[in-house]
Amino acid sequence: MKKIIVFFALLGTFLLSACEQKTDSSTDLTLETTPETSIKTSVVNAEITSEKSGADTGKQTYELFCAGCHNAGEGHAGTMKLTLLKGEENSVITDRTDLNADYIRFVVRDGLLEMAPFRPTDISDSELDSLIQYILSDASRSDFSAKNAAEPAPE
Amino acid sequence: MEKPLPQGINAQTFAAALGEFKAAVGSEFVFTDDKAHLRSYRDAYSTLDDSNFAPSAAVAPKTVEEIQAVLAIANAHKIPVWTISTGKNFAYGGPAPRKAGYVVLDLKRMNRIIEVNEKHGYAVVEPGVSYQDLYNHLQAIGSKLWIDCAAPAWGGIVGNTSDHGAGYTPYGDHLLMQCGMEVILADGTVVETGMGGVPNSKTNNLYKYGLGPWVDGLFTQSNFGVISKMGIWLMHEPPGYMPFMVTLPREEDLELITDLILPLKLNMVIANGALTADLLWEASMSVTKRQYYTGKGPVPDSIRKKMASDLKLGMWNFYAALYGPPPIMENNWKIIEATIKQIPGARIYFDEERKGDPGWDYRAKLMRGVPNMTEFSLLNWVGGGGHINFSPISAADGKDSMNQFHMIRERAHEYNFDYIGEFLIGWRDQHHIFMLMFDRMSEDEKARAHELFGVLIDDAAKLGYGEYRTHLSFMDEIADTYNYNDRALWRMHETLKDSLDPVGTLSPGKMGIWPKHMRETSS
Repeated sequence: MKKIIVFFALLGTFLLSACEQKTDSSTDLTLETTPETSIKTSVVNAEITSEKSGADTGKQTYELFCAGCHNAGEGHAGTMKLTLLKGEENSVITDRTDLNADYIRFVVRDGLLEMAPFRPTDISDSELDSLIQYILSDASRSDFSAKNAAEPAPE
Repeated sequence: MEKPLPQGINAQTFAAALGEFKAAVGSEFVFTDDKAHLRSYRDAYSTLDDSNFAPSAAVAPKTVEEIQAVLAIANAHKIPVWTISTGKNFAYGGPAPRKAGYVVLDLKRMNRIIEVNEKHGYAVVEPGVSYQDLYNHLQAIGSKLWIDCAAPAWGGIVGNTSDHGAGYTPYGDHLLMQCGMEVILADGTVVETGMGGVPNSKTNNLYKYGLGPWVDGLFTQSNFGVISKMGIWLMHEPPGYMPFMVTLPREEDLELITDLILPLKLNMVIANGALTADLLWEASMSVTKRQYYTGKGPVPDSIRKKMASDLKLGMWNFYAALYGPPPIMENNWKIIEATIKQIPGARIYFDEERKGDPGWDYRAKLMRGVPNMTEFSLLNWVGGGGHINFSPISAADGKDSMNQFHMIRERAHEYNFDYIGEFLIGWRDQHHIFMLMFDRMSEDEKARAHELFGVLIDDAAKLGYGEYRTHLSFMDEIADTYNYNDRALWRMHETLKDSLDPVGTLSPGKMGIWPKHMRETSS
């Protein structure tokens, strides 16, 4: 059936890997060896949750908390709303030229209409500084904006 | 606005407690400044004014030891603390506490993914880990495990699971897939549930029930302890995935699709959290009400028909997916296709025909556990942000679905609101979610929405329907509908509350469970 999307290894590989996961016959079980394939991990998004600032923090904070609603293209609730309110050319916040730091800071902490506020445990004050810097910088311009700049508007 | 104080606490005691909280977690993680920080703890979407749920402070511990210290201070001063994790329980109250003046115990900073077990398919997470966090982490380490997420990606595993949330993959019943919990009781005792009761146990996150009573459920939708860690089962990525959608042309088709799908769900031919969503829910992913209708009240039928035709949607729209090795999927598809063909006018869609349609794209992502935020487009339907969910449980039965749909739609129209809803099919039940959207800038709409919600609770209870989850504003009213045998169930909850939290500081009023000293005055 052609409609089926097969996106990882064949069934044979699947079964083979399952067979390889043999039970350890040793009686000397320790937490380190069982379960044997356990991947111990550290703090998620350590860079974001630590109190540091800089361009990377701004971008990561944007990706984690803003992009889902404010990236360019359909399926983004914030962009959809701003298209209706301010036109397509002002629909993507990273492309806007009329925003300033105080306004962004206020909206992030207070929310705006459909947008919920973000708590200082979501985005710390220093992360908010980095986020604002990122949104206002050229580094965050969307592909949508770049494309429009490359293609002169029709007369 | 004058800042509220915790119930029965004077300014001097409160100031002393704040000082102790600061010593316990660090002064930068005790938030009291309304403009700079505390405003962000409001529920931005409720039918009531923010002042009804304004906290006096928020305290954000990072470790179990810090939680213990905070609880000790709260107990010593009798200060109510309202626990949140990622704080995105929107439509049900978000990060806001049940009553103004509580201190929010914000666990967002506890955001460690403690373990990912590829072989056995589970993760152990702290309360601050969001679905997006876990997804990003699994991608980063090259894991072949799927998550099952709530529709908005910023929700958290611990919070959503403990509020009995649901998702859309075969692991969509979140509490069923929860295994192992670390809970901190009001007196600071740390309890590991299930197999975790055995020191050095290797099966904490593999077998749910341990020995003796299975207590994990007691710490969900409740206020008997603070969950500080949770195991959640994750599905191995299957060798194949095929989402599909069925548009149903008539309102009465809800009855047919529900009855036809139930046997396929029971036998797990359809294994995932399938759902049937109404026209407006799906339409709002790409258009707003104003683009089609600028009149007052619900969208008229003639406009609904045009909208359905323009957007290639049905009055109802069924979504499900097939998973597994291709031969199994092919065989199951034959059964599903033959079933759907019994519905006159039903049309089946696959990815190649709907790709690029935001409504389809986000459902196709959710049914394979890819988090996104598209569902927030619902908030653009009327604008102004207000929304609360009325969420009765229905049988997975055609006539029952139609009964609930008619019950809610007729009342919604009487109050001049659209019916926007979906039926998420569980193992034998359906979560029926009525998304009550209103303009939060309009006092009139807020008041009407609030009144409608109360009427719906009464209407539903008269017909024997109860809700599975609810907003802060209606916890007491809905708890009162669970009143068989003189509230025997809630009286039992109160006995447990008094025993496990005798001072009564933990989330007073959560789901209508109040500590003794607030029972008469608050509920």
